[in-house]
Amino acid sequence: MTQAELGACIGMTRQTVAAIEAGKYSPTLEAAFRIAHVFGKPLDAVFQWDAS
Amino acid sequence: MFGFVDIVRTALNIAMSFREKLSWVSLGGIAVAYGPYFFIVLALQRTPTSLGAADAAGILTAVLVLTCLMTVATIIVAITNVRDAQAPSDERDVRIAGRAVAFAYPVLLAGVFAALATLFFGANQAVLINAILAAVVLGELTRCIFEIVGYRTRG
Repeated sequence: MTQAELGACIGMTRQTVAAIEAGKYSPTLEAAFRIAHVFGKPLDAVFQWDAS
Repeated sequence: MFGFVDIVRTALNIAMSFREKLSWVSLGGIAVAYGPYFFIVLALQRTPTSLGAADAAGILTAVLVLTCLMTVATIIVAITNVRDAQAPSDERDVRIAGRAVAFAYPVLLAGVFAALATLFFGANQAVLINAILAAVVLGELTRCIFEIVGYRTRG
């Protein structure tokens, strides 16, 4: 799946998807759930939080 | 000429969202339209007792230049990537725009009050209107710059 295709599925631009992948942007909780839903994975399998 | 078009096309298609490109277009348009205007105003340092046709023509010219530049540049940017141009703003675009306005609004307010304060120092109509115009331009420049910073950093 390309960034543009993922963006189209979740209502985001390709550039925003790229920013999420690069760690330059943290999506809202709803957007994070949508991304996880697209991949059919639980939320914490797609997003990890570094406490440091 | 063909090489220059290729460079422009490549620059327009690098990893920038459509709205970030518009921010750059706005920044450039404001600089091109109002830079020469304020340079001329400051260089002439005229102190007319009232506004005249020349003052109105100068402001109108700057507005028309900005309008034409923005229209043409936006069309060019949109044509180079129609799909991006047609996509609605997403949450990141909205967040960056909101944050940029939050920074720009105080600049605009401060500029307007500073412009009004010039009246207490004997400023005439020409100084007042140019001071207010400068406040608006500074506010817009602030908005564009913070939008660009938002897109380039952790927006």
